[in-house]
Amino acid sequence: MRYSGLTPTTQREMLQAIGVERQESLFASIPETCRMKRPLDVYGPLPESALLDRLDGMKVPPPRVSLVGAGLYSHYIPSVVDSLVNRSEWVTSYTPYQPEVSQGTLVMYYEFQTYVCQLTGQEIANGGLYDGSTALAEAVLMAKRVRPKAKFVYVSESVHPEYRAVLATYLRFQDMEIRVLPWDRASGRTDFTALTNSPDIVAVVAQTPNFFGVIEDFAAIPEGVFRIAVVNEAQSLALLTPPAADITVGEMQSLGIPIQLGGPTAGFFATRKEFVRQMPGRLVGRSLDRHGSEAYCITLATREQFIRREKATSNICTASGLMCLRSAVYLSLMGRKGLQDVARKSARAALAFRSALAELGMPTKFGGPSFNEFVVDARRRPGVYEALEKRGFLLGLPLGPLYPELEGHYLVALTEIHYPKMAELIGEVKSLAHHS
Amino acid sequence: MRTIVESPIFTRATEDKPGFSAIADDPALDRLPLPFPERTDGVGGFAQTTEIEVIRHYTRLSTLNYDIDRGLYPLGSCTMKHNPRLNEKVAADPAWRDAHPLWPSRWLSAHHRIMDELRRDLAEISGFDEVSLLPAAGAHGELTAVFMIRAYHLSRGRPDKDVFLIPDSAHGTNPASAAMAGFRCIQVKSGKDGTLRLADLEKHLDDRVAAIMITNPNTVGAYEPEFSAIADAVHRVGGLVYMDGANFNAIMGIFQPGKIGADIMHFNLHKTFTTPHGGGGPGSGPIGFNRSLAAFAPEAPSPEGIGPVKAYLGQWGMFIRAWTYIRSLGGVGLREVSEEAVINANYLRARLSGTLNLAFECPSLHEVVFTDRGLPNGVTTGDLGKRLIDHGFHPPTVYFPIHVQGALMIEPTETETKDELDRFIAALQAVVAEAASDPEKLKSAPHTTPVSRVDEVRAARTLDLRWMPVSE
Repeated sequence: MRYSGLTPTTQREMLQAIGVERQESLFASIPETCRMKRPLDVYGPLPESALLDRLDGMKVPPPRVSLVGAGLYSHYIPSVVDSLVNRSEWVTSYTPYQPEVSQGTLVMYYEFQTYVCQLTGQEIANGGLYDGSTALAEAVLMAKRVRPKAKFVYVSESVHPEYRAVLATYLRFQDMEIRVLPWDRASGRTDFTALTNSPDIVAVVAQTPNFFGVIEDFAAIPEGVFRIAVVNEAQSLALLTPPAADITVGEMQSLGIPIQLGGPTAGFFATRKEFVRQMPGRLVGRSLDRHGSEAYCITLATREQFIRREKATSNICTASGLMCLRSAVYLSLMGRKGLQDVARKSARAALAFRSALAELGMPTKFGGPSFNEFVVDARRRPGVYEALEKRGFLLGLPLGPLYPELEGHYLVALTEIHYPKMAELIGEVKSLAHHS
Repeated sequence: MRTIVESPIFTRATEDKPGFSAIADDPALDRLPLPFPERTDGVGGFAQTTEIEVIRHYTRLSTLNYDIDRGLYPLGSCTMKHNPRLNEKVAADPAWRDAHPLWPSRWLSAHHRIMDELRRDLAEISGFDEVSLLPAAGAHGELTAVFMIRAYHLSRGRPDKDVFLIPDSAHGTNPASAAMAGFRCIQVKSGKDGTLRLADLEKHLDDRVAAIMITNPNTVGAYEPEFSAIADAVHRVGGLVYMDGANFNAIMGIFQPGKIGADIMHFNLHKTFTTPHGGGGPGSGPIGFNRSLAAFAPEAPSPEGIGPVKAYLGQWGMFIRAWTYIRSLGGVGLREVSEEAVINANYLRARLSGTLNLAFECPSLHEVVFTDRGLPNGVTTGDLGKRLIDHGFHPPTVYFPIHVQGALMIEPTETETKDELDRFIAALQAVVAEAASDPEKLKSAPHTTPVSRVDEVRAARTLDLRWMPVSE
């Protein structure tokens, strides 16, 4: 009742206008046997203050320090982002199908597409997908449209395990087969040497920096193989040369989007112009209105489900507009210099921390270069992770459950948030490592 | 004076501005050499602005949008209702918002409790045995269900069950999702009254039918009167019944799909449960399903489980909003939502029936569909919608459902007052009157917006999809 617009009086007037005496009559088309005969059993109604109290009572204090990344990174979100993104005109508007009353959202998508192109070095990008994992699945489905006769999808084992699992789900009922590419045990990079260019290959998929934080070398992929690059830590693109790929997909979360338990975030999808008609998702283009003024609208909708139905390039409809807006505002505010500064601070925080851990008998596992995340071998310091966790300090993600041969290893991520606190963080680990 | 469209921010790129900095430099750390070469193109073309420029740019852009907070947003099938601010406040609380899904579970017990309670609530509201929260939006929920249906038939040794029956009134996402698991789609024609008839369906019902996808209430806003009979018939040939839950706002506490023949259904938390639409997402599309399908769910530990359809745990930000909304209203309140959504739609229907022609005579629940048949001077649905903008309203859904000529589909939702509905009715009546007296005014509308009708053909031909510096 709390949000409804009707009063008993207006309700009566309206029923009269409709020509029925009771609202129940409006449901007469539903057979009596199908009707619910009891009220719904859900908790409430609660007034606002009671609900807030209840939620406060449920909260569990968060860890003091989290060095868990693994695809979702705690970067600093400037106050401007929340303040702008929370405006009604962004939050409570619909998908911009009516361009005359949606130019704000449309220009924003055009900016988002531009930013994705600038970051990835690709020619075109769409207006975002649900997240990085589904963007990867869509990329492989697109590769199959480009190479319909091919069958094998080579996926590096150093791609995020959850992304690989999502891809496996999407390909389960497709005429494709996943083959795994191993990683080099010394460098942590994908070993592409077994790969040769063959018409059977739909695509090769690798992530950079990969799940272990190691920067991959896409030039090692044989010429002519369709390459799909995944970028989990989009902030790395501020500094790293973008992977040379036919499609670049990934996660925008680290550019202005809170972690939110992993959702909602926004996926990005970028590729070469020649594939534009094969792309999934929404595209916004610049055009003119009937008076010749600059104007924006959704374009190439003939690829989309609401026009093409079962022949659409994807079933996606509602994607992640408000999260794309977060990224656009964040990137506009940071500018190139601000973004690169933050990325350097993230990388240097990780460098300082990994050398401190190495001095404490916890060396970095892989020799390949990394950005802000790395695998630490803590087998000689058993109990340190657990002791830190007891104090609310999460050293990283335990890798044993995901990669049995990496039992006793942890995936550790740092960002600019940790950069001003390096001495305390290192001091705390040191105090415990010496006791183990 | 017309507002001028705000150009993309890249036109403000000047190199001598410093960019935003939130973290102080540490000279000792900054001496560490980076272990990789920096990209040489330097992220070319990035905007370089000041804080106030960014604020003004996105504030000006925002004012070019129509939004619910400005007025009625009558998009049929989209359920554009009020987005309570309490939900927004709760979702923005760092204690809920900043949790990482890969933390050890003891740090996430409160989050899991809320997800468990939401699953339980959605199961109760829909009448299904189980709920998966994982899918990211309605179409993603459909896709998850389609995968589960495929896995179900395969587990029974029936790879040959490869046909999906889909009514002509269905959302485009239905056939698009079915195709993504390799199903063939057969379109089923609606009856003359806009609803499905078992008799029309029977010729398609054979051993190859894997499932039917039915939106109920359907996209003309009507309860499918033969829903249960159709479900029984599909079950008899070994098929499953997928219910598209896009129109769930009409039926909370009225009927439970899981109890009247549906096997599986998606919810749109961003429609029924008031999470905001955000200019095209994010949404959230949990699915409810009966026990017979549980082994195939994304989270099912069995090898028959389809596996995850998205990384991590789903759209948490939407879960906590929906959880809050459900508790704000309680069971009785949710039923009242549906009752009042139906009253509002029927009020519009009654008041507008003398103005526009109904597409179908069947009784309406939460939305009503008119047609542009009989409009004078060649005025179309699109013209009506565009001219409504000049009268202060967002257009209704136009040209959908596709089996209606010039469809104009209106869903007011329960959060509108009678006054707002009366204003909308008056506006639509004025526009229809103009169609007779001054049709050119409609055909060239809108006249009051920052831009007039956009040349979509030119957009598709030139494909200008990103900003480029003039020199390039």
